[in-house]
Amino acid sequence: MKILRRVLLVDDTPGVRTVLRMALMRLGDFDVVGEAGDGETAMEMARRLRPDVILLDLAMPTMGGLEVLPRLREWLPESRIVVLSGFIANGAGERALKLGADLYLEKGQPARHIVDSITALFEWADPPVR
Amino acid sequence: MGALPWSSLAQIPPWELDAFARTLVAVSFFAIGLAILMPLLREHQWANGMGLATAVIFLSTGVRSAWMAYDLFQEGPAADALRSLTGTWDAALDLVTAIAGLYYWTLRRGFGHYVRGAKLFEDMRERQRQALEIHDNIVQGLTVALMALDLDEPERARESLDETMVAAKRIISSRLGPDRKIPVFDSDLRRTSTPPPLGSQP
Repeated sequence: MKILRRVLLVDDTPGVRTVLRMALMRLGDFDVVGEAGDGETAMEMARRLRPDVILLDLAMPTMGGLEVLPRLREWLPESRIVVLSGFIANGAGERALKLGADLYLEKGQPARHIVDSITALFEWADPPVR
Repeated sequence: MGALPWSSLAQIPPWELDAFARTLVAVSFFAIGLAILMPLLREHQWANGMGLATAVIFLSTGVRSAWMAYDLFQEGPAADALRSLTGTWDAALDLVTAIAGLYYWTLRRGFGHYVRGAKLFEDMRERQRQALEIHDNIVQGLTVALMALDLDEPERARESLDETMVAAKRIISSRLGPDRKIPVFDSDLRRTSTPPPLGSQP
C-alpha cells in the first residue's frame, strides 16, 4: 500500500492551485489535504492539518510567503516546506532557504520536475540540510 | 553706497560668519533629511536602503553642523583655537553649502509634486507594484498554461493563455493608452531594443 504524503497548497491564484493539485496527485504519491489563498489562512490551516509538505507561494494577500515561512518552520519542524515562486532575480530564493524552506522552485518548470523534486525531499534518510 | 555692506561684512570675524553658515546648514540639511525619512517611515519602506542612507547623510550632516556651530561659541583654549583656525574660506565654503540647502527648499516649494515623498522612492515603489502586477497576471497565467500542457490538459492551457493575453493587453494599454496625460507621438512606439526570438528555444 502506497503512503500518500499530505500536502497543503498555498497560492493566491486558484488556477495555479488546481494544476499543482492535479500534478501532485497524478504524477506523485501525494494527497492534497488543504488549499489556502493567503498567508493568514495558510498559517491557520498548517497548524490544524500538520501536513507533510507545504507548497508555498511568495506574493500573496494579508501575509507574504517570506513572512509566513519562519512561523511555519517553527511550528512544523518535520514538514517539508517548498517555495514555488515566479521571482528569480531578487534574492528571494536565497532568502526563502535562509528562513527555513527546504527547497525553492521557480514557476514555469515542467510539472514532472516539480513533483520529482518534492518527492526527492523524502528520499533522504536524514532531514535535509538547510 | 554699494561697498558699505561688504566693508561691514569684512569686519565680522570669519568664525562668526562660519557659525552663522553652519547654523543655516544644520537647519536646512536636517529638514531635508526629515523630508526624505518621514515618507519612508510612513510607508514602512524599511528595505529601501538607498532612501534611508540618503536621509541619514542629510540628518547626520545637519547634526554635525549644529554641533560645530555650538563649539565655536564655547569658552576655553580649545574653542579659542577653533575660532582662530576658522578662516574666510571655511566660512565661504559653509555659506555655499547653506545656500545649496536653502536653494533645495525653494525648488521643493516650486516643484512640490515632483519631490513629494521623494519622487525617486515613489518610483521605486511603483516599479515594485508593476512587477507584482506582472507576476500576478502574466507569470501565474503562464504557469497554469505550461503545467496544464504537461498534464495533457490542452483546454485548460488554452483558457489560461487567453486570460493571460487579456491581462497582458490590459497592462500594456494602461501604460500607453487612456491614462496617459501627454499626447502619444508616432515615434513613441518605436522599439529601442531587439525583440526576443520567440520560438527559437529548443
